Amino acid sequence: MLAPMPWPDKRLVAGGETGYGPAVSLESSVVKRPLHKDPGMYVLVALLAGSAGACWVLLGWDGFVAALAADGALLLEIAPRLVAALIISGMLQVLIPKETVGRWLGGESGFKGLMIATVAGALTPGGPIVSFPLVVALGVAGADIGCLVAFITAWSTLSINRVIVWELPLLGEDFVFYRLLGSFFLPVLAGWSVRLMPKEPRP
Amino acid sequence: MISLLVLFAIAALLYAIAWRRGDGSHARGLGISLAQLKFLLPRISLAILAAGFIAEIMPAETISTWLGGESGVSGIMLASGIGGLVPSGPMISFPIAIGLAKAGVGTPQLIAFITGWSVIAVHRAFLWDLPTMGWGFLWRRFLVSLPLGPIAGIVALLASGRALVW
Repeated sequence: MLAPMPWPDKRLVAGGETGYGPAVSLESSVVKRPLHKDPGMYVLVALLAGSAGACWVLLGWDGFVAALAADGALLLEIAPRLVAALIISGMLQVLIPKETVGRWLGGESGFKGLMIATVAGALTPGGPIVSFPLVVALGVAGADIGCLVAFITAWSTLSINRVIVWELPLLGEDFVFYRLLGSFFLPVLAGWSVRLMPKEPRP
Repeated sequence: MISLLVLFAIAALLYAIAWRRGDGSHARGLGISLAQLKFLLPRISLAILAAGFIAEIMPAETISTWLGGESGVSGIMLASGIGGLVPSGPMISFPIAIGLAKAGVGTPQLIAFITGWSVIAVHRAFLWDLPTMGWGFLWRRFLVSLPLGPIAGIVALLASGRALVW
C-alpha cells in the first residue's frame, strides 16, 4: 500500500509549471521499488504464510502437497499468457497519447464528457499512484465531479491493463466477457447519478 | 490454447504498429513490459501460491451454499459486500477471487465480488480519495458506487442465461 501524496503538488497538477493537462509520465505506471521496501509485498507474504500454515494444520501434509501441485500446474499455464499480456500492456502504454486525454474533458461536458471520461479511465494503466494524479489534474483543468467519478469508476472496473495482466490469465475469458458485459455502463451510470446529487463548492 | 495464440497475435500486431512509427516506440514499450514483468513475476507467483492454499482451506460447502451459482441475487449482494471490504490491491484480491472460484463460487457472484472490490475499495478511499479529493468527493463517489457490484452481478446472471432468483 502506498502512502498518500502531499497535495497539492504543483509538479503533478495541470502540466507542471505552465502547461495544460497532466504531467504524469507513462513510465510512472511501473513502480520502481525494491522488493524489501514494498509494504504490499509483506502483506502478500503474510497472507501466503498464514494460508500455508492453516492448510498444514487443518489438512496435514497431504493437503499441503496437493495445494502446491495444483499451484505449480496453474503457474505453468499462466506464465506464457503473462508474457503476451505484458507485451500488449507495454505497447499500449507507448501507443496511447495520454497527454491529449486531459484536453478532451473540460467543464460541463454532458453525456459525451462521461463517455470520454470512461474511455480515458479504462485506458489508464497502473495503480492509484497514476490515476489519482490524473483525477486531480482533470479536476483542476475544469472537469466536473460527474466526469471525475466516471473516470475513477472506469479505471477501477474497466482498466484494460488490469484485465490483460490479471484477469485474462488468472480467471479466463468467459469470466472477463461476462464481467465486462455487466460493467461497461457502470462508469456513465455512476457519473450521471453523482451529477444528480446536491452540489457543493469544489475543493 | 487458442486464447494464448490470440494474445500473442495482438501483442505482435501492436509491436508492429509501434515499430512502424520508427521513433523507438517499440523498444520503449518492451522496456515497460520488462519492468512490469520484473515487478509482477514475484508477486503473481506468490499470489498463485497463496490462492492454492486459500482454496484448500476454504469451507467449500458453506461457500457454495452462500455464494454458489444457485445462490442468486442474495449471493451477489453478499459477494459484492465482501469484495468491498477487501482492503488491498489486486495482489491480495485476485488470490482470494481464484480461491473463491475453486471453492465453487458462481461466475455472477465472483463478478459482484471483483466489482465491489474495485469500486468501493475502502483502503483506496482513505489513502487516495480523501487526501487528494476531499470528503465531498469521497461520500458522493461512495454512495453512487454502492449499487454497482450488485448491478454487474445481476447483469452477468441474466446474460449467462440463469434464472433471476433471490
